[in-house]
Amino acid sequence: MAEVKLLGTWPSPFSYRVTWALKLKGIPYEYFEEDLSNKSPLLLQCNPVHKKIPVLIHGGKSICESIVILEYLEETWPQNPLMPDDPYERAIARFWVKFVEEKGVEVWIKLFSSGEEKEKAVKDSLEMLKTIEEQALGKKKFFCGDKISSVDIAYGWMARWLEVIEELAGVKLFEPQKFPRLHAWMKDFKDEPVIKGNLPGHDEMLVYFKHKL
Amino acid sequence: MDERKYNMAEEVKVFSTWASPFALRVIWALKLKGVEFDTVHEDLINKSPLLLQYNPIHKKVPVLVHDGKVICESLVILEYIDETWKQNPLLPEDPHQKANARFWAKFGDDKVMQSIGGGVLLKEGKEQEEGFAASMENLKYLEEEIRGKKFFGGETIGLADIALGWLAHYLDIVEEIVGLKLIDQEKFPSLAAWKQEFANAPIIRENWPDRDKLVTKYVVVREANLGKGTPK
Repeated sequence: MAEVKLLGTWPSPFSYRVTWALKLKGIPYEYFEEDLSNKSPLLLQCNPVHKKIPVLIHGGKSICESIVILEYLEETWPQNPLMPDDPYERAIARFWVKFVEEKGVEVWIKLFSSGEEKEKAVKDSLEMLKTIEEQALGKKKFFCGDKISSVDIAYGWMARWLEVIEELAGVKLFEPQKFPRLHAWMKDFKDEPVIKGNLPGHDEMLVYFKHKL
Repeated sequence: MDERKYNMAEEVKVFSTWASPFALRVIWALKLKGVEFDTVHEDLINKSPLLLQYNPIHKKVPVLVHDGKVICESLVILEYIDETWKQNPLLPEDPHQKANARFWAKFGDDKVMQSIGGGVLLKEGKEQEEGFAASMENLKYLEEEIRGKKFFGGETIGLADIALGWLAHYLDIVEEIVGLKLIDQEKFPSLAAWKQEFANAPIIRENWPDRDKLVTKYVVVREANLGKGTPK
C-alpha cells in the first residue's frame, strides 16, 4: 500500500478531522507538524492554491481541503465506513457538513468583532446551535445514527474548540440545559477512544489562540 | 402525454428560479443524464409554501425532490444525481481525480464566485480594484488547471465544469455591467477556450437564462448594494 502522509498543525480542528478519520479507519500514516509562520516547501508544493493544512499525500499525490480529504479516505479505504451507504442518506450527511462549514466559520470570525456586529454574531450562533440541536442531530446519538460518521467529524470542533472560542471572545453560547442533545453528543463524541486520545489540550489552546488574536 | 413508464415511475422535481446559476447546475446534470423531471418555478420575493417546507433552513433554490426525498444545496444535489443515475457520470472513478473535481468545485464557490460577485459586481472604487485583483489571482489558478484539457472533467463535462459553468454566461454580464474584462483571451487563453467550449456544448447552450433580463437584474442588484454603502 502506498504510503500516507498528513501535513497538519496541532491546534487546527481541520487537521484533527483528518487524524480522526485516518485512525477510525485504521489507516497507517505519517504525521508532519507544520509551522504556519514558516511553511515547508512540501506544503507549498502540495497546496499551491491555498497554502493551508491539512494536506493528505497518498502515493505521492496530494489532496487538499479537509472535507474533500474525508471523502477521499472513504472511497479509497471503505473499511469502517464513515458515510451511509444510501445515496439519499449521504446527501443528508453532506448537507449538514456543508451547513457547519458555512455557519461554523462565521461564528469563529464574527464573535471576535464588537458592538452591534458581535451582538448579531451571538444571535446567529445561538440560532445555528438550535438548528444543529433540533434538525441535524435530533434524537440520534451521532449525526448519522449509532456510529461516528464524517458528519460528527466535521462538527467535532464543537466538542473542544467551541469552549476556547467562547472564553476568548468573552461570550457564553453553549449551555447544557439549552442544548441537551448537543451536550450529550459532545460527551459521546469525546468518549470515543479514537477521539479521546486525539484532542488538543484546552489550556494549551487558550494560550495559542490568545497569542494569535 | 405522460411519457413516464409506469413500472419505472419515479417523480423528479426541481425547484428553481429563472436566474439562478445554482439551480441551472441541477438542470444541466439531469438533462445531461437524460433524466425526466418537472420544474417548479419559484419567485424569491414570494416563496411557495412548498419551498419553505422543503428547505426550511436556507429557504433557497435549488431543491431536488426525487420520489418524495428532498435534497438541498446544489453541489450536494449534483453528487446525489451522480450516485442515483449512473449514465454519463459527472465524477471520474479514480478517487484522486474525484477529489480534484470536488476541490475545484469548492474553489469556484468559495473563492471565484466571492471575488467576482462580491468583490467586483457589488463594489466600486478601491474596493472593486481589490476585488478585481483577487479575481485575477483566482482565475490564474483555474487557467493552470484547465490548460491542456477540453473540460475540467477531461474529455467530457464533469462536476467541476458544471460548478464553474456560470462563468461561461454570467461573467460576460458582470463584465458588461462593470466595464471590466476578467477572462481576457490574452491573459487566460485556456480558460477563454473552455468558456466557449462549455457555453456551446449540447444541453448547456439550450438552457442559458435570457441575457438581457440578467443584465437588468444584476444592474439592480449592484445599485442596491452600492446604495447600502452610501453614507446618509
